[in-house]
Amino acid sequence: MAIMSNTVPKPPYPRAPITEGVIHLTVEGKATPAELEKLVKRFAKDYPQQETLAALSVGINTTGGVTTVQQQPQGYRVKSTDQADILLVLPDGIAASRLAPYPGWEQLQERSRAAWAEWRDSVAHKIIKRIGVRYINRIDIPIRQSEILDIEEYLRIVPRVPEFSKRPLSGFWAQVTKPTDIPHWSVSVTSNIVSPAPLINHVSVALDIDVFRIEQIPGRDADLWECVDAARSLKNTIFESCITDEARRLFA
Amino acid sequence: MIQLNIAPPSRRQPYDPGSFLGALPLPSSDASAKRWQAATEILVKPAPSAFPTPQSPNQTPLAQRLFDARAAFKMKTATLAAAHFNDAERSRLFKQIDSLLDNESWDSDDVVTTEASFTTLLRMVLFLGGRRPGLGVTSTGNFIATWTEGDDRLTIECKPQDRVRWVLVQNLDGQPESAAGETTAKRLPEVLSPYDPPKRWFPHAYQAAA
Repeated sequence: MAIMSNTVPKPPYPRAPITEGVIHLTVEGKATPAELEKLVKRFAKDYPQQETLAALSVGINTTGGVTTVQQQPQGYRVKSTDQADILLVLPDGIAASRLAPYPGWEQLQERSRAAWAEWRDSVAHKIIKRIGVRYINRIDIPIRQSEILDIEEYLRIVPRVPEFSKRPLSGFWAQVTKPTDIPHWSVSVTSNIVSPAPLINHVSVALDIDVFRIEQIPGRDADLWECVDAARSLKNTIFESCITDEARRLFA
Repeated sequence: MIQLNIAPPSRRQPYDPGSFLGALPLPSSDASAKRWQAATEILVKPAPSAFPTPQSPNQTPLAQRLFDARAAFKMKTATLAAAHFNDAERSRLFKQIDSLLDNESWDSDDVVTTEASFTTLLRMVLFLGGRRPGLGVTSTGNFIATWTEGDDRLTIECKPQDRVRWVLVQNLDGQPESAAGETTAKRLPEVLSPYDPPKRWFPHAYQAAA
């Protein structure tokens, strides 16, 4: 006789719902375009695909003058050959990002560390004013026809809605920001329905956890990465507190 | 009870709730509009992968268009398939993409396979589960997925917006029997239910539909 397992999986999950993990360091001041260009060239080996991020500003002179179009470079996005590893090189900092499949914290931290080392060598502004460790998760919940889904069966961060209608929600977006119990660290947690649904016959819920610190940021490199490492268990704890056992079963 | 902390962070600083969506700004107020902009910037802060990719114009050299297409398909796989592909499946798919969109196999007049078709392919493959298909491309920019076993064969052309055109050949008591049609990816299990081979190749889709 087959026995159906009702065990709740524990992390690390075989099918972790992470769609993107980001370590983002923001500095005081702004790098010059020349500094950024030099920096991006140093990433060419590991990130061969390089794109300029630019803002377009259009000026229209209403008194009959000329119309001007200016492209203002805002930074670069560089990507690995398989497109899974990304660096955002911005005037006020650098973000290392990893898309699914997520290989683990060590790999992301190592890439962020290497990118920061290059930044320190190339850019005059080196004082970090914000450390952000952001994990965007997507929980794909299978549905059947005409089934109503109780989001609270999967998620513990949902909007509280007064009973002005008996009809179910067709979408939601909830965000909270609060300090954590670990000194100097705060978190922004956002949950929302992903629309349109990425997968057929699924409802997808995004759970975006941005753990950040804007005070008491260490200046020494060794201390900096010890500090960044502290965010690892913090974001894990927050993620676990935001989901239910039913959600965990989806990650088995 | 939902508690809101309104205590100032220190004696020296006044209380500042920071960027907060709050009430809608009055259209007449510039300050409100700026506040709204700042607040929504934080709320909908794009992830590094979400920054728009510059599009290649049509006159771009073929090699560049193929490179951009390969990159876009891999990016789409990472964001759409997320946890549903393991490393081995992802590597296999990327090899198929690299092989199909190899510079040597294309002429400059060819229509490069579109991201809209790839999205349909990916959604369909994840929905059907089971055996992963072999892949091909059409001259009109669409992906083709094929499942083959002996004389049984299913070929599906993936069009944009989840539209699929299918051709099935099955061997019935030594006689080939064929059928074809067009539907959406979601309706495939139902439309193909009279035939046996699909039930062997992706049984999960039939169990889920039952």
